[in-house]
Amino acid sequence: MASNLARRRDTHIDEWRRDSKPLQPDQWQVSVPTGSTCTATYYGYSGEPRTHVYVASGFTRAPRFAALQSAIDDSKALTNLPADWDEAGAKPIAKATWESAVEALRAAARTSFRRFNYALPVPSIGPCADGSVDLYWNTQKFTLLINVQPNDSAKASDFYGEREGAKVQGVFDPAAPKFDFLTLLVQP
Amino acid sequence: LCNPDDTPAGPDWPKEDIPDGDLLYMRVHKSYFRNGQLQPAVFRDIEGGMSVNWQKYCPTAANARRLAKTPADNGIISFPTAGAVRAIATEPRLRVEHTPDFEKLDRSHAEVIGDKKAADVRVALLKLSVWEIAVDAPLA
Repeated sequence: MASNLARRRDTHIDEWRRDSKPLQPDQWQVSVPTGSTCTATYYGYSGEPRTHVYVASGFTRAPRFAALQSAIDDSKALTNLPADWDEAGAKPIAKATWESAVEALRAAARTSFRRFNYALPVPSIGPCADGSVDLYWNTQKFTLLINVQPNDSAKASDFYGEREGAKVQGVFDPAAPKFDFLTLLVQP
Repeated sequence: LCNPDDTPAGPDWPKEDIPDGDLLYMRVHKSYFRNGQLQPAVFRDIEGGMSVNWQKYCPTAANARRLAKTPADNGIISFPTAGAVRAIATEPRLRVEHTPDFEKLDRSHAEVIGDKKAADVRVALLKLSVWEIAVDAPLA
């Protein structure tokens, strides 16, 4: 058991959560005192539940996730925008639309971190006049715009990204997002 | 108002062709300025087109700002050339058309017509745009 603990001391907390249950937003930023323990249960190929005990080795959580959560918290105010918030007839942002956008953002951040070990920068989370929500990254490395439409919209949600002249674009399903396009944008 | 030649208001203003090399101003409401940067959502249609002001009849960014419903709540960006807007890679291409506004006595009024909902078009417009007057700048 001792050797097992030692082998897993440096396991990143997101890694073991991948094998147990989805990381919840309120767990993205957790201070774990050095030496404290936590457990995770996952199911192996045989279907048998396995429980692992982890000993925190003093690592801190990925700080980018904390900033992301803060941006998400701030963006909830979008759902309070009145009609005509841009003095040009803009529609309000429905809570369901904002939630779809936020879930897509969390999924993008998880995918980026797990697949590419890259902490996705915090995007601008902005309202659109048609009631949709934009997630917009304009970084030195890449540009990416994901537009999440209201559920009842005739227009599909879509994305566009570019990096060093290479471009990716297409439709985007917030209910079942796929982030293959991140390969071009964030891989080293 | 953007009528520097004191030409009469009304139907005497012909609809002109805007040369590719001419500059266009555009008002941006403060709600589209977030986290220190302009948002792509600012590029959207209102009644079929995206309003801009042709520099030929709106000589300065300050002139364009005064045309806003609430000037203090708006900044001004420009597209250095109408041709660059027309050249954005989308099909069908965006059109830039002179549409004088007789109701507001704005001879400079023009519209960018075409799909601006697609993410790639909005990013392209954002990359073309140049700040002229910041959203929080005091009124001149």
